[in-house]
Amino acid sequence: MSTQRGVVWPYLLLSVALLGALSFGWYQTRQKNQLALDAENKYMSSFHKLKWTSENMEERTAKLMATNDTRLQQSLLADLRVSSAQAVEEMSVLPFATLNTTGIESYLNTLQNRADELHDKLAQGGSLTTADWSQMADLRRQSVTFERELSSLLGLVGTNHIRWADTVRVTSPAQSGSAATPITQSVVQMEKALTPPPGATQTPGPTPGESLPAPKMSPGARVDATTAVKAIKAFVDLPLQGEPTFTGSSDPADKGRAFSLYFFSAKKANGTPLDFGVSIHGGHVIYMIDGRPVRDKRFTVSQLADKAAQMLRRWGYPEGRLISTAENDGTLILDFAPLETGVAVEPETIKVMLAMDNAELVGFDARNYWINRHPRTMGAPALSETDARQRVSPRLQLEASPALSLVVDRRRQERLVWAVRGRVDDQRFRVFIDARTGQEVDIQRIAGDPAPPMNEPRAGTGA
Amino acid sequence: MAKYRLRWVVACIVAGLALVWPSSSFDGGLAYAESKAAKDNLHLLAQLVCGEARGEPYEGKVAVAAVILNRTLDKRFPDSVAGVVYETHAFESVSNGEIYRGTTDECYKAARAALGGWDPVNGAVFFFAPAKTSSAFIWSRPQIRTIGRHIFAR
Repeated sequence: MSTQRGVVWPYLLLSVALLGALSFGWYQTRQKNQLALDAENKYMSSFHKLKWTSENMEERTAKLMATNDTRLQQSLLADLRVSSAQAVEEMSVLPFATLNTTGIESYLNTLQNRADELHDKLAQGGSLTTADWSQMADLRRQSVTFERELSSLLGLVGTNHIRWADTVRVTSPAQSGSAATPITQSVVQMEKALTPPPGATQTPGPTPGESLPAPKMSPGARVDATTAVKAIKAFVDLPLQGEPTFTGSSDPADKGRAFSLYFFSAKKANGTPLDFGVSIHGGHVIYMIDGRPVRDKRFTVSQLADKAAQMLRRWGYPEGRLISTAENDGTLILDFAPLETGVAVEPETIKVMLAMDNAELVGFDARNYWINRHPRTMGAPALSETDARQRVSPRLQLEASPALSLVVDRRRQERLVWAVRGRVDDQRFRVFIDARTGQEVDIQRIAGDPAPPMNEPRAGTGA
Repeated sequence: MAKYRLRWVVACIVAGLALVWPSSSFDGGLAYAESKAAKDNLHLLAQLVCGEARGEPYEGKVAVAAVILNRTLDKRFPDSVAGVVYETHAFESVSNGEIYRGTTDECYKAARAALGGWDPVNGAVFFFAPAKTSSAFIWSRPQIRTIGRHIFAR
């Protein structure tokens, strides 16, 4: 009997353990399933939002073709600009990243670009031409196709027989086969259907290389890597440990029509690594990066601004106006716009980053200067400084005298402006007034640190 | 006989545990990360930098952050850092949870440098580890440069 009792206890314990394990496993599996369902809901939500934006685009393009009122046209174009951008956002959530969706991207990009351009045209007092209407008619046809194809897909998804999880699996980059689901097949179908009609001019999506700007004028004669090393040695303000090491080059044969660079790594005497980009044409140091952590702040903004200005002079850059500063993790980023006949040319802004503990150079970027530099005819401002002051909002308290600047507006046009610095309550701004027309071109909020640490007060800005 | 029964029961328990034990557990890191990212792009950028470029040189970390910011300016991609980072299947570290493994000071510094305007990869919008990637699409992109174990392309 005692032997039997001795056998019963282990069985009892094991049964309890089994029950415990089963209930724990059941709980965990339930949680896992809930997460899978949440993911399914996320995809479904994005799909329905995409469908909704496609309906908006279809409806807005239809109304646009029917209205003759300029204000209504502007309003519809503004809606189309927003809806097409929203559609790109929703597309990015759906598991289509590894599918070829260039036609869909091209349609959405073209719609966004054209809506933006035409909206601006109307806002400037212009009117839509026959060519504009013809292109909008093409985009209208594509909007109808896009909406119709999404409706078909909704028919599949709405039956509850298709889950996104399968599509997520087959479109994963880890999958190498040509597995397909009804959803991927539907996207392929949509891609085919969105091919622009014969003869239609459709702006393609950004293609490789096109988005990268090339220098507007030659930065100089072609140099070899040895000359580039000499340029680095002349550039740095502290001795280096050994020679800079060549680590590669970007577009050395100038095929991409962009900015071709040599890349180098080096070490300071104390062993801190530095990285450089040197232009293949001209042998100019275009950028420098030093990741040294900076803990203390011993130098003031004005001391560092003086030091940066001295450095720019030593490197041979023209006199510049300090247009903004921002503290960044113990370093100070100073933006200098070169002066040309008293006008600060902001598209050519040079960035200098100095450590706030010892005023050492820890970063440099002159890409904008070398890309945007070209001869300009500034012309005289039609508006006086006093006129510019009167044009700004009465709520803006001026902090400095308006100064002439050359800026690029959102249509990428260079404009001579009066830059007016001021504040409204605790917010600081730079307001740009067109020096010829008096129009308020743009407004820039001075936010201080571009990425302030959480739970810490924002650093102020100088200049 | 009792000994065999005992073995059988133990075997059943082990098999049962193997069947029902979840393959991975979720610790709520996602929600925490998202709430932080909503406050500032910096934190999400730094997380992705650490997830994708842990162990890479500092310049490689800045380059990864610059790619994210370059994507936000390219109309093929979402406008926001969160939209780009969480694009489905876009980043392996997001898919496998590496992004939530802890963020170092250097990753924050690199993210800050990219937000400050530094771009060591001249406008690249793609990067990949050649040792791990066989995708024909990514290999077809014009390559800009290699930093550490990553090739950057546009």
